[in-house]
Amino acid sequence: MWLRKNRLIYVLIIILALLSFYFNFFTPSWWRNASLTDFKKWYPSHGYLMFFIINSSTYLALLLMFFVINWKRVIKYIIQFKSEKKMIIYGLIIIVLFIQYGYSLKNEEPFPAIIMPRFKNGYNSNTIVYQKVFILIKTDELDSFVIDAKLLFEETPLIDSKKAILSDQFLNKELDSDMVVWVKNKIQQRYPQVKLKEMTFIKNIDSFRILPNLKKDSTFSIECKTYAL
Amino acid sequence: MRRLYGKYREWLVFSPMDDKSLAIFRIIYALFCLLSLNLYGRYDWIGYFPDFFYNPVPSLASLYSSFPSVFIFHAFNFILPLLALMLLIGYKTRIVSMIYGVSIITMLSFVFSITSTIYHLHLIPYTALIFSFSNWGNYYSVDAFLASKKGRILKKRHNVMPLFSLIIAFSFFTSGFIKLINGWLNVNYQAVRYYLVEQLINGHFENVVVRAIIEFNLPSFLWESLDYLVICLELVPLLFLFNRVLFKTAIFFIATFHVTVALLMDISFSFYPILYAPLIVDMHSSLGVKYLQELMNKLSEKCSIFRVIFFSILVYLIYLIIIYSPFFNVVKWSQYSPTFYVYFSYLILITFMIKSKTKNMNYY
Repeated sequence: MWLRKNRLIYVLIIILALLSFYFNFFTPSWWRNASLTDFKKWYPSHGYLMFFIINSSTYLALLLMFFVINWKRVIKYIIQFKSEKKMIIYGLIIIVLFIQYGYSLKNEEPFPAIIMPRFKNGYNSNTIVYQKVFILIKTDELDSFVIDAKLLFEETPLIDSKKAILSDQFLNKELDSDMVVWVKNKIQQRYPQVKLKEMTFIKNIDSFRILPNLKKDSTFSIECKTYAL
Repeated sequence: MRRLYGKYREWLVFSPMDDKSLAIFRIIYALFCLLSLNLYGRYDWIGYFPDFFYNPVPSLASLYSSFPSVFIFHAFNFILPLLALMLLIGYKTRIVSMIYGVSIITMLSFVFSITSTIYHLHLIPYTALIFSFSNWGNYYSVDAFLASKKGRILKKRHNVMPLFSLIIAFSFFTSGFIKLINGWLNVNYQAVRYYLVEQLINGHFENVVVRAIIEFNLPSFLWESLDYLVICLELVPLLFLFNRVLFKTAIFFIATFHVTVALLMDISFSFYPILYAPLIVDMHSSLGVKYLQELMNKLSEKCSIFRVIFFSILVYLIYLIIIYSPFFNVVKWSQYSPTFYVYFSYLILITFMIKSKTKNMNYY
């Protein structure tokens, strides 16, 4: 049999599936989406447990279903099959590979998957976008200087282009207080003698036409975000 | 159609490696994993990263809402070399291969969650996972030694070569296909040139060869032919999957393509070229395989199990001392080593392709 005979697991799965169904379809959305703090406030004695059950019943049921399947037998069947069966199974594997590829094209790239990284679908544009993120730092002495945002990731073992992606995040998202402190510490590590007052993230985007001779295009833009330190 | 059907049937029983060659491949694979310091040297730097940058791709990392504790990454710093060593000496080979594959996938999931991009590293864990179902632990291993001592014969496992070749061919097909449908064949622009110029202008890498090529201002049709060549190279392995000779040639070109890409574009495929060895190298007549088999036969005769264990503990300790020493710079390691693996593994692959005058004795 491909399924294990374990009554306890089946009962647990049914209970979890029913709970999941109830929470997802018969409860108001504000209640189901409430945070852990809210639950702790509403149910002081069992808020934690309640929050855990609501948020994890589906995943727990799926996890238990994983244990129901007798994987040893399934794998044995897939690999030990002979001639005709083997042909059908390999044919199915090829179909599954194409399905997962099709899925990855429509959605985000999953990992692990049997696909090569897409990298912007193979760079299919003639226009080169030059973009760089700088940090303009103002000091207490009313002085100012500019550094490349990639310098904040000097101790990160990622290649330069990935550090550029990380620098981009400073403009894409709002920095919380912890993050401001993190950036401040990183700058302070580099310039310990400077008293920091304010920092501005500046991203300049410049585009070029690649043909015929790297002609500069008219598009040029700047994005800025300022934080007090 | 009947011919294709015949080729398909032939491919299903395609098994170019005997158990001893598989064992040699296991040793080389494990050695590369150890030499690459399991790719990043250390992973604890991820644990110190602010959650602001946590942006996982759909992966194991998506189960977390922020970076896990730094202790988990430290644990993996210890576990990965241990597993690679166990794979090298062939102790509990099957289960260790599986755990090793899953561990690498787990760590890479967190690495990829920093920039939300997947890099060219996925075939490394897949190789361990796929070959865990093969006989790669049946020779030159502690498992084989223990089995012979108990008078037990190790189980005959499965032929994984069709699956391995399919997965490699399909991976490259996906890479070529996306380029094909996104207009790489359009003669109005040249994607390879675009990529090189973009990398240069954004200052992501400084490469004398690339600068020379760009400044030399090659005619458009040459750039365009490079686009066509890349697509052909990537699509061809899947198309020739059922033809042994053409497939072998296509995969060899892919390995050469990795070296060229590393040289020109600074894109590293880690030690992928050596992973193709089972598909390219003729194990019947490879001089490298022959020497390695002789060496391993001698070692198996002379080395006691205690020596192997002592050697493994020593290597493990040296490994840990290296990665945790204050002189080890994880940034410089990850910056310079990946391109080195490509060249080195390609060199080893070429060495294995040199044929010996006599057929290998151990092949059956």
